[in-house]
Amino acid sequence: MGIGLWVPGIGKCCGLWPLVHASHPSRSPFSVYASPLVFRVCNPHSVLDTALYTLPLHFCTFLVSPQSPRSRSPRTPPNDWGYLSHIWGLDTERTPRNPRRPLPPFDSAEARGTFKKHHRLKMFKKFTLTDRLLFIAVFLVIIFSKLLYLYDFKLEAIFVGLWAPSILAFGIYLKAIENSKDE
Amino acid sequence: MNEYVPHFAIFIFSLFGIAIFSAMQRLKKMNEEERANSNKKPKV
Repeated sequence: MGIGLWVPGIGKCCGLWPLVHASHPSRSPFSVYASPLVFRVCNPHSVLDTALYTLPLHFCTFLVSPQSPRSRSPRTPPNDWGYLSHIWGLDTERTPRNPRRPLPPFDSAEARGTFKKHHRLKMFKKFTLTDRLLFIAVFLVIIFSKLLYLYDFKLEAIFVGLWAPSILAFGIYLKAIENSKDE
Repeated sequence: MNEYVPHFAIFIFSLFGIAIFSAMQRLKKMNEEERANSNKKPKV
């Protein structure tokens, strides 16, 4: 517990950072650099956005932010930032716990509903266990097929890759049966 | 890498089997519910 307090400079930049983090999270480099990312990953409403926008742009934020939004008061993104303001997690500011974030301007994409962040995720709420398993299987098959092709096992890649449409077709068939039972 | 293809096939088809099993359970449940609802209806 005390190591982080005694040698914070060494502890932060070598393998001792977990001890620094354990000593106090506010001193930790993990919490400084990764906690917005961890929040986004742990927040179920932002998983897809994390995968799509945050990870590739996380280390390029200095290119798009004129100044650190942490020093702003109040923390409002400028309108011309567009979707890049999401890399700081500013879209998640207006929560029931933190209603201080002002409403978006009426002519913004957010207000018009062009940016449908939460609506996009409604699709996944209807996913049953079957759908999830088939989805994961298809994803893995495609990745493995691509890997086989890149390692020059082309025949095997075609063999494995042909499973993906079959699995998807079977998923559609199951959905069709369920829908016909509803009628 | 091609020697892993059978292992991968086993893995994927076990996933597939679990998916089919859960779908069958779901269909069975739906069928039972449908039967229960049809039994509840009064005969005219």
